[in-house]
Amino acid sequence: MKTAENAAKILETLREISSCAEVNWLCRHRSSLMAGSGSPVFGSGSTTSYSVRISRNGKLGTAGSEGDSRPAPLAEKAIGSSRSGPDFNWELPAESPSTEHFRNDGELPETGKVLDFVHSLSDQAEKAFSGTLIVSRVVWGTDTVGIMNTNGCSGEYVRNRVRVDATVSSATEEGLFRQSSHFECASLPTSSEALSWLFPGLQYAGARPDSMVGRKTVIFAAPALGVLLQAVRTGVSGRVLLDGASRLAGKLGETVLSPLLTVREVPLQESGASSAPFDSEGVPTSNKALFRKGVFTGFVFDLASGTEAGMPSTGNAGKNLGGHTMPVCTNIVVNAGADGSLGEMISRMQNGVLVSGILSAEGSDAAGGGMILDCGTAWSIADGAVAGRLSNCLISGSAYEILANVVEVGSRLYRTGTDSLPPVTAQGVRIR
Amino acid sequence: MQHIRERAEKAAQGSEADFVEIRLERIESLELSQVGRRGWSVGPVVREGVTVRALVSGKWGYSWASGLGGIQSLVDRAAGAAISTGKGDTAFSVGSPERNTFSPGSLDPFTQAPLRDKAFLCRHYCELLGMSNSTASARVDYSEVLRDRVVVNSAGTSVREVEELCGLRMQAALSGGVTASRSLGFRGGLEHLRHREDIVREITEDLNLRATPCSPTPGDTPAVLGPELAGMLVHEAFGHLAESDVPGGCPSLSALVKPGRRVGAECLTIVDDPTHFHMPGSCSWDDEGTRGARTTLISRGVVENRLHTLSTAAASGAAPAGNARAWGVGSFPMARMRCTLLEPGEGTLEDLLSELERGVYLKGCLGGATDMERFSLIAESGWTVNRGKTRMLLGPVVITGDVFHTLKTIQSVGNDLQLFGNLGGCGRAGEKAIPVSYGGPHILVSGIRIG
Repeated sequence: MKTAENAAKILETLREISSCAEVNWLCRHRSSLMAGSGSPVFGSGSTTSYSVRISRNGKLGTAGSEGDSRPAPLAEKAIGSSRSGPDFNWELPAESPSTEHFRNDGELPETGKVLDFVHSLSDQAEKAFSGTLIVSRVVWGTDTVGIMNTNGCSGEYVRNRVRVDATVSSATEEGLFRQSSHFECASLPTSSEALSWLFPGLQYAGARPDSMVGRKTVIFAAPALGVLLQAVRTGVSGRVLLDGASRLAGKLGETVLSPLLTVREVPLQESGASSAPFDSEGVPTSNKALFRKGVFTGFVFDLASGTEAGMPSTGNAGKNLGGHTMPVCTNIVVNAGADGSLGEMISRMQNGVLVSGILSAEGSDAAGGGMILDCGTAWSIADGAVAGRLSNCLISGSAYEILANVVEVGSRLYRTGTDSLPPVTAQGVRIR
Repeated sequence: MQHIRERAEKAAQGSEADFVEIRLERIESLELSQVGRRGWSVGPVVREGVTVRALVSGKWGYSWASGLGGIQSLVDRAAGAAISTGKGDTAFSVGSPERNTFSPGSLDPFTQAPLRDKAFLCRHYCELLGMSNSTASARVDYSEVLRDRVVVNSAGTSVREVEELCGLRMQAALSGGVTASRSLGFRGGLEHLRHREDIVREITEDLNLRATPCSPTPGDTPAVLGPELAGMLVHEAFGHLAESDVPGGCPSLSALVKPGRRVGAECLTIVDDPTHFHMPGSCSWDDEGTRGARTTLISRGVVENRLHTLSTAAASGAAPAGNARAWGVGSFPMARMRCTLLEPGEGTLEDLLSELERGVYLKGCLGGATDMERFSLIAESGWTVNRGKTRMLLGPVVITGDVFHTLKTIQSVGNDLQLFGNLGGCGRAGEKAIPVSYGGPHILVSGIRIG
């Protein structure tokens, strides 16, 4: 409550210098448990930050602070920023968004339960592949997110967040197997669920070395599909469209991805880590399909990009502390298909590749979809079983083309980052 | 900050925990971007906060809060967190107390330049990049960070260091998607970023050259790597392995970097040196208050040291050299790199190319990653080399390989050391990215896998 009161004081000060101003606040309470080879380390803390935007002489000014809620320094910085800011030519919302139907489910765990979770995660990893060591960190708590502006719009909501980061190291006869991964959601899952989300191929760590090049059929486990979808996240941005960099320009209503793929942006997901009833500008959010059965259904906009494009905001404004807004996606969900579990998808494959993790995707043209992926964890598949481990597996091409050639979609969703994704099989993927 | 520092000293001394460390931080930052005619900013932003660690009965606990108040209650909470998970066996030893302040000034402090000057700088470089007939788009990003931090502990250490960091990234693209870019990152002020039209010229020339690059033939090939790639290679291929808290108790991983193990040829000497005070990552003291000192990681091909926090140093009987780094409120100090570089040898680039005879010459670096066993780097461009002469131009090239195999293939090391700063920083699983520097001279490798 004190945070909202401070925000109101900041807004009052901004009113004196601008008739159009906005204050956002974020209060993060977190607990953290790090566990690995030594004694676990527990910690907790909280941070409170304020972001402001003002219109001054028709220009946009921004500023932010964490730990200092004094209005005057923030206002002074925002004025300085407006002197070289871009034009401010959109209206801030006047209506307060409803939070009545917003649910962010689950309960936050006690420290003892998290300690049990990391021990169990370690046991599960050892069971999946003997000799595996796991270093993990669980961070959990609440975000209190609020907004108020000079047009009378105000709102506040609370959401839970649980983030699990883990790294496995397995000494195998063929060398070291090592992989890092993470996911975020609104409550702590079971340890076996978490392990399947983080390291879907851990049981194959001891496979003999193998190599493979050429056009192949490839199963992308959820963490690998998440990297491919970065191109979609960027491409659907209205700002990227206006910058002339989106591969999706002029494709509205066209089949862009495989008809088996329905990709949704779900800010109202009850179990989502990035769930929110309204965006960074106070515009109500809504669940929406980005691609319905492969057909591209629309870009996402914030107020600035929407005004420029002659479109309404879709409630997708996101911003960093003290920054300008950009249109962003929250929780991405790819609808589950009918092709069974990851194990069943492998068992149906005669000859191909399983990619369960991406080591690097640098150099990718995220907006255009062009990319070179170094698959950190990849396996060859022969006659329905994992046959070997591919240690230098590079995939090159366009993420959109790979996603257009998807022929199977798994029946189960896995958490990766803040997304919920099934494994998918794509044909004709170029492996170098 | 000085007044709060004194309060923190009292709180650390008054605690009943076995050891208490308090880190006060104030970070002011600004990012500006210019894409064509459109400009935007993140900030100015001020972040300040306190992070406390307490060691009780062999276990760490920690606490944090934004703002610079409530230090005593944070000390109590950290001690409570240590007790809450039972007894432990964390090794820990702290050296002689340090008491000092280091606040180097810069010639042209960005703190004294108005925001519109920096926005003008971005627009100026962006316009110059866009003036070339062939350029389809241009982008310039500016960033600055002023970090003022104090580390005090119950053993009597009280140090304060102010870091002024700034950087520029310039990028231009042809309509076909071919891009060329340069990144600059420094510890210091705007003197490093003004009058850098030379960088614009480099990018424009590079872009014109690279209008129709060829794809390399995948496979193993001898290569000369440019200084940025050589620096990134040692950062990714060995630097992360040398961070002593990375193995996480994995004996086979620890064995790979055991002091005394030969991992490369005589020409291979890698150091981590925080005393390059014009580069990001440099420090007088680390985030545990340990004095920063040069650490030789590999000497003449043999592993000599690793990078330590106070805990990992105590556990392995090594001397800490100021590698415990944490960035931002609530982050826990980890063993991390600062300025990691391959020591120069004697040859010139021409010497290395003539020694290469046939292969590729790769330069520029778009990024890298490692899983400790393997690494992956993306060279921005390169040339095929035949009889020591550069021939056909290549586009971006992925190079991958086994870390130790690749280190063993470094045959010759040039004499032209260059350092590169990175404000975007070096990330590690689950940890915040921290500013680092890396570098080296041109190097000749007998076999590297290109994709």
